[in-house]
Amino acid sequence: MNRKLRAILAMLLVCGMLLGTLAACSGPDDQPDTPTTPSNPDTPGSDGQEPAGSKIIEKLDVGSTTLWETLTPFRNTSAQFSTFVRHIYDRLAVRTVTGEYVPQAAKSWEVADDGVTYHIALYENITDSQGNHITADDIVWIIEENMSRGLKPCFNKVDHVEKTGDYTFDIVMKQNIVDMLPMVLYSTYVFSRAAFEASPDEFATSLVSTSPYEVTDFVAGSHITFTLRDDYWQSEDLIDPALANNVKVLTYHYITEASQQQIGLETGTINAMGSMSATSVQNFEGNDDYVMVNGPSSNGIQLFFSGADSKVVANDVNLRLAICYALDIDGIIAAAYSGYAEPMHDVVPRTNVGYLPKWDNEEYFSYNVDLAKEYLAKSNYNNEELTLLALTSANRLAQMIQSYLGAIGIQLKLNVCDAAQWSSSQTDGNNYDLVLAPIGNGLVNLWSNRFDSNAYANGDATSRKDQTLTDMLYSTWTNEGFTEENIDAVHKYIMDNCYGYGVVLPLVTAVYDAKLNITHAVITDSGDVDMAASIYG
Amino acid sequence: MAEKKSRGKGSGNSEFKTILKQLSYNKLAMLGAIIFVLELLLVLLAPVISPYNYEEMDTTAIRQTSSAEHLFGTDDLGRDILSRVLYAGRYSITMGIFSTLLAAALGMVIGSIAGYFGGWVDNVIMRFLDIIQSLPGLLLSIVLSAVLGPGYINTILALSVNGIPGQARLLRAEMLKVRGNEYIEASQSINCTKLRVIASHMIPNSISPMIVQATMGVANMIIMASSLSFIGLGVQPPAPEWGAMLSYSREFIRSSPHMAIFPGLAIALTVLSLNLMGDGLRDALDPKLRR
Amino acid sequence: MIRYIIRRLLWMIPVALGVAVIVFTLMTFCPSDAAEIILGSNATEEDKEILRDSMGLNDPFFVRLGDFLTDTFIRFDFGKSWVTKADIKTSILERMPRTFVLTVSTLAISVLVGIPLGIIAAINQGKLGDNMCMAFALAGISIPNFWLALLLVILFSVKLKLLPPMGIGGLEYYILPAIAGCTNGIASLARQTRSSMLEVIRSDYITTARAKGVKEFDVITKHALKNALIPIITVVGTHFGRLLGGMMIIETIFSIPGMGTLIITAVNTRDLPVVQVGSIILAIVFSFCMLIVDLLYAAVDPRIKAQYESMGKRRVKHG
Repeated sequence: MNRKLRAILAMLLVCGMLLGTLAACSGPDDQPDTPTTPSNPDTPGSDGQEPAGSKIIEKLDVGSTTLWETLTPFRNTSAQFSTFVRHIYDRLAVRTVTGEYVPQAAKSWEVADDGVTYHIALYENITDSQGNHITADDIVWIIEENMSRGLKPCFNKVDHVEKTGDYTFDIVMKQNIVDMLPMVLYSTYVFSRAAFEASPDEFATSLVSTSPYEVTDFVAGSHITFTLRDDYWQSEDLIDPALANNVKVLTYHYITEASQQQIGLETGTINAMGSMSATSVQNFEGNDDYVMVNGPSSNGIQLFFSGADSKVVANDVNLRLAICYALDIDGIIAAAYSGYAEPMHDVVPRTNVGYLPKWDNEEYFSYNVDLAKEYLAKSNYNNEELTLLALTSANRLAQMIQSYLGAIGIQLKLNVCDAAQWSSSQTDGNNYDLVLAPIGNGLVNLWSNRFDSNAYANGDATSRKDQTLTDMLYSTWTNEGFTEENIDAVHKYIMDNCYGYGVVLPLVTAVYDAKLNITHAVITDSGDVDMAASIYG
Repeated sequence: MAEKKSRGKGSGNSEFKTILKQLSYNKLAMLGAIIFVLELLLVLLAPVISPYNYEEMDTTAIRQTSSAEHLFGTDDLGRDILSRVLYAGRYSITMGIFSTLLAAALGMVIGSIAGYFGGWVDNVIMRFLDIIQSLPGLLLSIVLSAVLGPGYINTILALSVNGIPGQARLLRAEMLKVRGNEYIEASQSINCTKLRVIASHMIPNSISPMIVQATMGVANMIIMASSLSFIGLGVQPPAPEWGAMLSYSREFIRSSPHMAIFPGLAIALTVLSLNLMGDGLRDALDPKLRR
Repeated sequence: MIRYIIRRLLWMIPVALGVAVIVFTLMTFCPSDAAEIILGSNATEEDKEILRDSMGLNDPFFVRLGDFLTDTFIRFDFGKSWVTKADIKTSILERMPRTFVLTVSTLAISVLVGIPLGIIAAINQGKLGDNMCMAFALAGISIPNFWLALLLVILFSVKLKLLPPMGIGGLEYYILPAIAGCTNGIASLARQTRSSMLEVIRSDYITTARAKGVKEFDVITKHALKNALIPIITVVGTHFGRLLGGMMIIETIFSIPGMGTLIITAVNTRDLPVVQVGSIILAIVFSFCMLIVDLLYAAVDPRIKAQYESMGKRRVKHG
């Protein structure tokens, strides 16, 4: 009898512990509301709206999902678009939420008549925290270093750089493509060559920078602390509101675990969390102690169809149309994104420069099961099993797509894999029928990434060879060709041929303590809230 | 432990019977065995008894707690958790069993070769096993998983490597014990091949400790599979797996804890019953505890 | 004895080499493109080819293996991470101590709780005490660690506000992670202690000691426990090894930048140099721990010490 006790006791203990979660687990809001469309407390001002001065906050702790391992400037990382990078380095130009580039270290830039030469003028009073003066020599060297190290792809588009004066220089690009130079300006960090060469580890653990902040504490993989300098070179009135600095000591903590992000806010370990996962954000809905701010991501999630001849979808536009009409975007947004996403109207997200606002009023593959079945009947689909390649981050979306396609009779197999595997498979259209990709970062970037038939050996990124489209792209993305007409023509062509389908544009949500009393939240180009630039009341 | 006398070929069966008899005296181990067998039945019958398909999404019933239609509630995509737990059992339990079987088979082969040939072959193999064992188990499985990619079979392969050194050493020890016996030479003199004799003596004796190790091994593999899912490797969606379901539910632990409880209970129950069985088997093998 | 120690230390070198070769070979077969990972999916094929050449990725396998081995073992130049460009040696030197502290504290709790549990269970064999202790232990292995971790955080950080929920700093940051990770260890140790104690308790010298009138407490601790210690030490040692590699989950949940998170991130991004060097370091640390375990055996049991010493003198043939 006593022996049996042991097993029963063990189970009771286990059950007790498990049930303990029910008692211990209640978020700050026990009854989450049905998700409605999230809204901003304050629409971000585009140019012209100069908000009133802000109170200066002494100390702020912010949670972030961006891993920052080293402070060295010469490397490529997806984290370089993160909000806090501007506190590490000043750039030549900075991209704002509207997609426009505003000057930071570069006073002005203009393109010459040949379309490839750009004249850049530098501010003449730039100094770093050690007092070193920055001149065109430093910048030219930095750009050339970037080019020779070959790590950031935008620098491969630069033909050469030449100094034309103490504070002026020319950048000559290899091709006449709009938007390429601003990327170079954005990716060029400003610092003194002498200071860099004096550093024992190429600025990896400590740096001398021209930015308004100094890095005073850096533990790789854990946190990075910025302290405001009082000897910043730029005068107050010339600082763009998107680059304001209203916090004295700012610490970014690396927190990846979704529930811990929430717990961090609740326990006061952090005062704000950027890019909080949608599932955790739901727990803060309706709670007045916290404010949620949504911004659109710069990357949308798009579905692309393979163009490889071995694949059934490649040459069957009716099948592709059937697939597009079979997806219930509203259902997807509600279930897979908990309401924190928007529908799209083109493969290009609306946050990218070049997107035409008039597309928002157009019909874009609205959910229509009957129409989908019609197209399916017209197509040559014969119950083959199609494959969808997706990232694990798009897991839920992939499963929902499988379910919707199953509902109209299309067999879909999922191949959900991690980033490394995905990136090695996604450029060959023979590996999949459909691929879910998070692409954005500029209209030109998206086009050249996906639809340039000369990009890869087999064609474009989906192994398609459509020369008409490629020619259209080449003539549209030059400085002169980047007109509304041409852009619209490309948009229609892609839509009519159903080469790609913009599924959803996820919303990035930042949640912060209401006690911070932010009267105007500055949203960055990636949809996150810039805590240093926001206005505190 | 007293030196077990090697008996003839036929004795393997009676040895087995003795062990089973010893086991039946241990109520706890029997309970564990019963629970495990019941579980096996449930998951084998999953397609028949599940109320829903494990992929079926009902977007109107997201993250609901237990109700009449959904005994275990629904997950964030509106899928029935009871059905998913039942189906997931098939993946999880079979992954545990197959990876252990594979480890045992490979271990047996490697250990026997090492023990039989001795000398430098033995040395090389043992050093190789040393190297594999010096890497923390989870790390090795993770690296293998990254190389092989996700998927059911790949995960089984990645997990099985962990069990190989243990089983190999066991078999090697047995082989060494048996090899030196005199009756081997005696049998050779009457024209039985050395190998056959060894096999017929070694295998019955080594099966018992192998089984004990295997039983614990299955439990370990199930837990390791769930750790792999935590990291993002392992079985691919939409195929359900207990560990993956558990890991997935981390995000919802505040708002919908029921998503974590049921897969967790399932893993706990399985691991518990396997451990009880393993403990009982170990006690049954111990001649000092014989009744 | 010294000869034994030196032999064991020397033996670590081929082990490290073996691990290096195995991990390098495995990772080479990874179906991934390092250039794509570093440059991102927005780069062109041309860009990637340029990078591949500059990184030497197009060289034949043995050339790369040779380069790797000479760099790592002869020059001790671990290189830079492909993905983050951080210096690997610096990363490891920063992170190893944290993982170590975490592992040691987890092990300490397991030992301090597990062994007494096992002893109580053994003394009360068959009675309530036995069942309660083993139930507790078994419950421990059945609960997934990360889940227990989140529960602990919710209880101690959110509700009770006693301990920090995540991050690094003083010793208090390691308490919750250690408790979350110790359940497995408690279970194994309790089990092993119980079964070795049971074996020992029945032996003759214990009966003798009791007959001599030695206090029960002394019987258990001085006589029984000391003799039962060997298998327990084995379990402690192997458990330490498993912990070293298995801390990744706890580290991720508590945002502790240790070896675990380093290697996980590296595997996920196919950051070969980091995975390789990280594995080698972990293997070496583990071998070192096994050496300490074996030395502890010798300290506890003079027969084993004699065995080690004789091992150096003449080879004992098996069979």
